[in-house]
Amino acid sequence: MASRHGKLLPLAILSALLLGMTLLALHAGDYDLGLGDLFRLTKARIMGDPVEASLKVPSIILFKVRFPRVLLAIGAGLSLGVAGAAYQACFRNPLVEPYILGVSSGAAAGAALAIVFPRLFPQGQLASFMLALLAVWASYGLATSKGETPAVALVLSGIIIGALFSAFVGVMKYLAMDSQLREITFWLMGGLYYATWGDAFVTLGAGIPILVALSLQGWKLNVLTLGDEEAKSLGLNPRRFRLLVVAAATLAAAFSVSTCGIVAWVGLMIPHAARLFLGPDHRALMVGSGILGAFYLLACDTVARTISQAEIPLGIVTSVVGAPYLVWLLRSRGRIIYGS
Amino acid sequence: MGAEGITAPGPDGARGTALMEARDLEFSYGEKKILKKVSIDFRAGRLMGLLGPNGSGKTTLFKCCLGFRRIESGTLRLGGRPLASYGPKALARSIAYVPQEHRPAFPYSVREMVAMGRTPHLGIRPALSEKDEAIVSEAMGTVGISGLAAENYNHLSGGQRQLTLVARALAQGSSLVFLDEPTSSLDFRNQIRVWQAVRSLVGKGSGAVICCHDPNHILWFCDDAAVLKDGVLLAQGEAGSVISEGILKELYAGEALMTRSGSKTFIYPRAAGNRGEGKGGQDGKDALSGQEGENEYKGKD
Repeated sequence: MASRHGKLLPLAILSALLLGMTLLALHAGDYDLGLGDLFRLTKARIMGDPVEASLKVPSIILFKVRFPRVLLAIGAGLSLGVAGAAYQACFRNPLVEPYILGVSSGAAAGAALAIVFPRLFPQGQLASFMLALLAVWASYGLATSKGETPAVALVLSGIIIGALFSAFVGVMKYLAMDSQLREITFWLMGGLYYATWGDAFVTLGAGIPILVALSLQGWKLNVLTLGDEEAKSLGLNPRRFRLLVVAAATLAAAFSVSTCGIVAWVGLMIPHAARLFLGPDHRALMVGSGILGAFYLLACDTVARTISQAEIPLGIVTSVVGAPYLVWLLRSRGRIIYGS
Repeated sequence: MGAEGITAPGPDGARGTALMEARDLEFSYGEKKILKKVSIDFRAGRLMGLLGPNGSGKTTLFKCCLGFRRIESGTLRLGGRPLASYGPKALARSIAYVPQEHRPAFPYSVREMVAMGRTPHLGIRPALSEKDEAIVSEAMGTVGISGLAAENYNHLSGGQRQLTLVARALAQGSSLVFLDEPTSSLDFRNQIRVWQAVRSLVGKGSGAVICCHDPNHILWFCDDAAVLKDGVLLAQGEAGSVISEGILKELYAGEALMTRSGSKTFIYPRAAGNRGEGKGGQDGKDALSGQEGENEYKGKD
């Protein structure tokens, strides 16, 4: 399709941006790593060559700290971007974000539970992930009656479930000791401080297949955004399809939130920004949202850890950059985004 | 009912093959019965106008025929098979739906909108083949919107959007098309263009059913007509014989009159020409109270 080939160039540009940002993020930090060292170390690692004595410290920083963190930022940003675009398509609303069905409040409840009762829940990430899925499942169940799940009911039940889990986080905060309270607060603001190779593999390993699957379903997502009756008259089973898409997007978002905490704005604004570059066709939009989300989160995280001596929570950076962007978008490009 | 000139409801085997046959269709929302023993045939190569006041059950009949709502009793057959036995994809290959024009949440191009009509014909990996592309182009050409292909669908006028949706139904290649009041929000010229587009659709051999509030349009553009009131099918048959003095009286309580000019028949309101007198006759009051009753009804439709 001609219009599809026309979208390869913007996608290539976005990929190049992400690659550049990755190099910058690997280079920048308290301990600057030169690009030459970067390549030499990476090559040695891949070939299994021994590392020179002078590069021992840079090697540890690169492979124990920076690489996992950069890859986690890419995986989480990619997942949130894709989840946001998928949720917006499912709800036929460009103002929906992936946290709307309670994935973030559920994850927060799980994380708080694990922080306050570390003996009962030694696996904080797992508790967070399970409660995130539980929250969305509860929202979906609450909104479903007689086999129908209307979008409005879903939004309402998402608010209800979100409030319930937030109340639970409140209880946990009340019970928490000072140090735990601090930890909960930091978790709620999001951050990649404790990134490990495992985290990076899990988020990328979930995010990339979900991105590929959803972009292959892009045509049907386009049809779904026309509304259930029109989608049905065009041969789609809107209820079943929406359930599958929400499940996939929730999975991606839950992996990301349970490892990084609540990183605000990415899932809301990245699909908007991607639509500016690529138009509304979800076949290209899903890929674009993923790449742009990865780029944005990586850029924000690099700022968060380099701008000052102490690290700034990631959620604050994404919000501070994201909010003005969205205001600008609404003022100047609202017609294109909303098409009204 | 029983007024002079009303054709007996029931199948009429004389014209075209029946694509869809409804027999004794019933449907209710809660306690309220919306469709009462409706039996109607939709035929290939014929354009049928469905006339009925607000709340008469037209929309519900459409929703049942399109498979959006499950019928309570009666039978509904498409190509001889029960409608419920069709999967979504197979159903969409046989039946297309043209809703009233509206703006989707995301700004697709006109060509993208029309191309979505090919959805039920695509395989596991949805991509348009060259044949699909040709069908999309041809559909846009038939309706006369080829020049708008790259335009943002949401920025078009209401008439252009409605034409796009007709082109989408054409691209879908279904043998039966349901159109839900496609002209109701359009200016006169655009109404005519949409009617022409619908005629070209029927000209390609499809059957089409169109909800419409103007009996004139049905007389001028439709082959057949069916009249629904309070969930009961009052008449069906050739448009010229169905739209009669008797049926107008039944529907509009004597507020509409019929006249003939040359070969064309026109329906006009009795009140035409009365400007600002400010008092209606006895008939006017009747019509008003009837209108109120229908509005109440409409809330549940």
